[in-house]
Amino acid sequence: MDSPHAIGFFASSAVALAGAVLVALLGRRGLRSLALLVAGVGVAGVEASLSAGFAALVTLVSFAGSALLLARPDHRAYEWPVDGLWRQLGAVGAALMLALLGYAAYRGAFAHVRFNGGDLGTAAVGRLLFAREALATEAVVGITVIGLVVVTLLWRTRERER
Amino acid sequence: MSVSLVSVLFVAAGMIAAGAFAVVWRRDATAALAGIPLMFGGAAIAFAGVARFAARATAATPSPTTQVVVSVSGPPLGQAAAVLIAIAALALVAMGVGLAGRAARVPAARQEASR
Repeated sequence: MDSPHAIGFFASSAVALAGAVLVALLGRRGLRSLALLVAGVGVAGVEASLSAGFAALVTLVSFAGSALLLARPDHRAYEWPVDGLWRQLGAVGAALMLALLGYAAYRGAFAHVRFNGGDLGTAAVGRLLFAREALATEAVVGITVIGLVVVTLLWRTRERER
Repeated sequence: MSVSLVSVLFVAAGMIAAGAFAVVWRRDATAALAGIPLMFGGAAIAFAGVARFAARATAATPSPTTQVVVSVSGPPLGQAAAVLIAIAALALVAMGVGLAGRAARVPAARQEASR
């Protein structure tokens, strides 16, 4: 990886991690959605610097859509029925997971090869998604359709209740 | 300055842990949903990184005298997985927002009864 790609990777990583931490810590809904969008830009930048341009584009759209959904003006709060102790235990579990994943990453230098792909790789990814991994693609499409149907039904129910 | 698979996996680990922290730390279920794209984004980074760096012995060409194993980067399976993960994250957030909005409208007595 040459220097511009490496600089782009590290800068995008910093943006992504800062955005992720802000998503976890910020209190206001609008700012949190903005932080999620910033994290998405960072993740897309990381993927673009890893020569996965098409995946970066889809990731950016996904984060932007998620940020828009979470920043809706008709937001309704629903609090988890758990007390603070379980939340703190969960936070400690997240820290332990970070340590575990960090150790796995430290031991992850299992291959160093020359990359033979292109910058975007759209055609190769499309061939994989629609020819070789068609079943997985259809499963994700099914999940997407179910999600959209649920959102539509709930939206229609709410409109009927008004 | 060089980027290795270890650097990529460290960033992915940080994203996944931050997403998990956001999910468990938030009281509001809708706010906790913001952790899902972060965790899935971390997984997508790991997949893209492995697709970028990992080797695959794709061709073991037999010859009359010996076998030649060619180590090249294989098809971008990791990139395809990253694309699917991004779409699944958006779908899960949409479904979660809808379900959380629905649960917020149900009175507490009905929530208790339905558990």
